[in-house]
Amino acid sequence: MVITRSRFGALFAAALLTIDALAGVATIEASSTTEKAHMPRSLSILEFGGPNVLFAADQKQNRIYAFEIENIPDSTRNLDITPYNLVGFGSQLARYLETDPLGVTYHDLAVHPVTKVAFLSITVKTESGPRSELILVTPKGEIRSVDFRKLPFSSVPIGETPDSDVTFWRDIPAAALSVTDFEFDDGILYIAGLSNGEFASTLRHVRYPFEDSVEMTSIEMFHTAHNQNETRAPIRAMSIATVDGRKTLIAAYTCTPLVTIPASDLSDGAHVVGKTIAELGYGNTPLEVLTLTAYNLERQPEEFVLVINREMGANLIQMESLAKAPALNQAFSGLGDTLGAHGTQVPFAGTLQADDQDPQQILLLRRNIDTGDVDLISSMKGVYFRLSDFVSEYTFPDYQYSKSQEGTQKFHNMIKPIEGYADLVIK
Amino acid sequence: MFILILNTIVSLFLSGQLTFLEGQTCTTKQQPRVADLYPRATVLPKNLLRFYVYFDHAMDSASSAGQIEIRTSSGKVLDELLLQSRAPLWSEDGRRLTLILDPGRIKTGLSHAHQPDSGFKVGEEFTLVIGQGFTTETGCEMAAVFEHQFFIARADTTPPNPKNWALNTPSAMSRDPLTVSFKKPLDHLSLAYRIRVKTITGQSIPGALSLGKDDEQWIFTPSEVWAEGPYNLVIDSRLEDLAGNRPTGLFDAPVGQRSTRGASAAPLQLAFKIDHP
Repeated sequence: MVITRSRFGALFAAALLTIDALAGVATIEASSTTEKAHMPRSLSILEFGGPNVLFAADQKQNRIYAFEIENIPDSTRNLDITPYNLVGFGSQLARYLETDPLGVTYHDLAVHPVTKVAFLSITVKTESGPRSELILVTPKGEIRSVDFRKLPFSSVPIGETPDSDVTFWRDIPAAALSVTDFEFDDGILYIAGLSNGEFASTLRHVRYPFEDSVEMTSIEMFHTAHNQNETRAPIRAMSIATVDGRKTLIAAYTCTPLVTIPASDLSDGAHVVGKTIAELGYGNTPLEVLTLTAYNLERQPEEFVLVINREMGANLIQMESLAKAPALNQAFSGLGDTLGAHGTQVPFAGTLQADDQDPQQILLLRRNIDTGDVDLISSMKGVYFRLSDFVSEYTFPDYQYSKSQEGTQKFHNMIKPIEGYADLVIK
Repeated sequence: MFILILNTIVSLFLSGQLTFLEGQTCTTKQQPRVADLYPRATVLPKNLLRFYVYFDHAMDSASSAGQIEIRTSSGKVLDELLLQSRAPLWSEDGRRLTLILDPGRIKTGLSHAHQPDSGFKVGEEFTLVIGQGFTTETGCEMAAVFEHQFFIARADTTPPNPKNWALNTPSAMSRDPLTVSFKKPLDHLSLAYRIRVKTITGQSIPGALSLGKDDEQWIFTPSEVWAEGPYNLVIDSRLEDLAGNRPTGLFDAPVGQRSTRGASAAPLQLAFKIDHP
């Protein structure tokens, strides 16, 4: 018997039940804050500030919002170590929203730190115009839209405040920031972004609960492939981790230098020179930088940095090698090559968004290159691939593992049920 | 009545004033157009950093994907010349889109291998094309494709230097404009937001801004008459020219040379005096 990909798809589709009501739906009171003038309008980048706070960037308001999500979702339901196997999720979501799959634009994905429910910020095309939505998804494929406009919130501006003293020759909105990444650590929200009015490497940071002002640090780094001090290149993706005992910002830039900066250097108005520790290849935009603990080849837990890229495969870098990496300060002209602490490549092609799911898994929102649909799937740390992505001889029920393949068989029999194929286990 | 409405719709459709899009009807008025494009100059430096495109309607921010092209005079599309961003750079009101030329492509000093297609060539003509697929928030497509032709001149590697600016000062007791000539065009948002006239105690003078000579002149007309005495032209250190160079340094600095400092640099001041008429 030949097992085709469509059979895999059908199995997944059967498991995908769209249940409108997630458990523990709370009645959400309208915002009691006095910020009525700053009611949120759209969501892009997401980040959790603990189980009860969701940070979101709103480009239409040029503000960062902190939504109180205490009862959303039900925190008594812990879905830890439950894999997401939602192949064809994009079509399911479109059906739920009563729209076309191409009518959904995905902005970001964040996994709730306790319940492991996936939060997605999306824009849906409707007849009355685009509508921003906050979507919650469980590993079972239960989908729910939460009206973020009714959540209690506090907010802080991130763009420029236009002055009223001077009028212009035409209506000219002030420079606004398009947030590219957030990182929340130790009570501070770090905000990386691209301004539509100035080209700057400014990293913004604000304490939560929000204070009045957003502090700024400008960061300089050396770009080996460009042979330049790229003083003003904006950070595209970042993470905070403890590197060599110091809390450190790990920042990835376009085309693709990886830079470390001690978090203690990031003070208001400071100008910091980052340490370029890796060159991850030209013609590439980093999507996510995740720091995670995974089992290494010696079956010991080890800290890693995972850089998920838009154009290239993901880079898995041992934290230890990142900490030991010398600063790259020489020009480099090897086209397509990598340099420094670039680690190994892992197969995450097609990833649109990703987040650390739990101690064992990374959650990926991934374009399925066979169907064109969007899948919401977990990838096991340490393995970084899904067996069900491949049709191979191992998939045949009459496949005979040889004695020397005992380890392979054990691995396959472990991973098949995790990916939803308990029936394909070969004893 | 129904027949009358139907007849009107049919005649509007036939005359091209009405289009049907995805089950939606858009009148000519509802169809968006490019209202303005900056820089206005038609000769632009090879290391141009950005374009600003203004629409006359609030636009659907997701509709820009695949709608913008830069073409050579022979019609060849220059791939990946514009910076890709997770979120397109729209203004809050959804009417202005900022296009950043990918700094990885316009930078100097890259080995040839890093520029498989060198992008802009000095002396040649290029066209920025804004496709018809841009839609308003309510789903109306552009009335027509918008095209803007420009020529490329050599890269601008001179930081804007306020000391070289020429000030044409008006007389006291008049509301005549103060004209500042830069000798080269400056960035659109910098012209609006980075230069102010202040008293020597730092108080901002209210007034109206206009521009002249393809954005090489900044013209300030005060709301009240000028008083006799000293003033300052205060320049935010983030002021940029068309290539992103700032008074504090170049956008693209050679290795070993200090480039532009960040947000911390102090504003620059140009003192001038308003004399008795």
